Amino acid sequence: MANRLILRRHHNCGNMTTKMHLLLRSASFLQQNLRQPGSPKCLLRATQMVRLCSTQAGKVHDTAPALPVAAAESDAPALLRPLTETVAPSAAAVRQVWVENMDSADERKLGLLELHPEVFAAFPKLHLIHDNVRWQRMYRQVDYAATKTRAEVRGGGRKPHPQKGGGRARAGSIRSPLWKGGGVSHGPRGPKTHFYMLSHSARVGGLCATLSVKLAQNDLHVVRDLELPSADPGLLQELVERRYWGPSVLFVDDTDEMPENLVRAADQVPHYNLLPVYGLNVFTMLKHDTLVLTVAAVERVQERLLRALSIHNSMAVKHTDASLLR
Amino acid sequence: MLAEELPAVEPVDVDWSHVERLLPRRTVPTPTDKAAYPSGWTPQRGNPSLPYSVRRSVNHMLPVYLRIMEDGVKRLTVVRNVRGDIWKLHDELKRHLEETNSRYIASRVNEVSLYVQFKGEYVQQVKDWLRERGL
Repeated sequence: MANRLILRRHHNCGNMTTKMHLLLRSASFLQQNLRQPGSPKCLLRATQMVRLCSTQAGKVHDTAPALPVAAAESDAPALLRPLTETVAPSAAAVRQVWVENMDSADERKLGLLELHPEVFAAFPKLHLIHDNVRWQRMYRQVDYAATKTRAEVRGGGRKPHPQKGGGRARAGSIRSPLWKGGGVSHGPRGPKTHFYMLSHSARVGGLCATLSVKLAQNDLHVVRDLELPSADPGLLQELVERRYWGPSVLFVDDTDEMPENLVRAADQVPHYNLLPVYGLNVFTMLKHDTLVLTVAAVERVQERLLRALSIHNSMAVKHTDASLLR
Repeated sequence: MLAEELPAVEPVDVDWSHVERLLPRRTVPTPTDKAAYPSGWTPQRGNPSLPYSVRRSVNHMLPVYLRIMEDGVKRLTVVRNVRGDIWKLHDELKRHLEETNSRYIASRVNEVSLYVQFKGEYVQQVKDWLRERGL
């Protein structure tokens, strides 16, 4: 990781104009992206920022004022004003990330995107990441090991020899667990599922922690869109290698209908994978070295996770235990 | 029945608000702004001068909990989701609790899971201390 950081160069931004352009879906974001002195701006629409029980990130000299509860909505910074948030994140806590291009192998920075600290600057709770990875592995695991008990082993219904008089140990059945070929007394009993559901808060916390870890370790990149100029896998590989993106790359878009060129190119390369936002999970994010998200995907992920952070465990969607379905 | 024989339908304006207010909400709403709350609850104001803060729970409550173990013998006060300088919070809070209670209080800091533990039952004192600071 250290080597990669040292080798990474800042490519010259000769193509970037002084006025920051972001060609997003709605043109209104363009005006809102310009940073005004003293107030944090965010590309996210105010209506999409949902309730978050957040605090300052612990910086000593925070200049952004705390918001009182639902009182001074008109005084709040324009775009970080959330729906039901009690205290907005401070300017120091908000994370910024470059928006890069995918239309050529040359890297160009197209603008800046601001990320909510609750999702992208959460403390990396390793126990949550571990719990999520373990859960993703275990909930689908089925153990097929099964042994027969003394009742199920063929034979052994008759007393092999009289109780007394033979000089032998007493026996009631030739299939007793003491006997060779007998049943197993406490062995594995049939197919066993390890299905369980991790709590809603643990799953949400794991996603936020993993995204934060990826961003902090320079493994999270944001691109404007995933439109490649051609379906040549060599071009995609050259693009990835020139930017020092890891051997394995996960491209995340907000919908499952991806641009054709990218689909055809990534199909040739097994370690470049495509994923829609609804498929994002901790295991896949850790498995791939680099995450590349589109701006739309970042928006969607943030909106969903911020909303999920304000759902109490009791109101979360319940996933029935498999045994109850029978 | 043929389509022509079906009775005519007309839209009816129904005020569903009395039903909607009974339906449970998926997300926890922001509390309404008041000068004082009868329960003693205070909203989080934030304190930029402090190097630490605590994240409130989903229900906007302070993350201070009492853990009772060993069949009621062992009582621990836990402050969870501490952000920023956790040791600073621990030192200041411990000093306050020891002065208030005039006794030594054993404590523990977990930097990985972001909580601070005090041996004893001091939930209300900790909450008041946090509220004074607007956390």
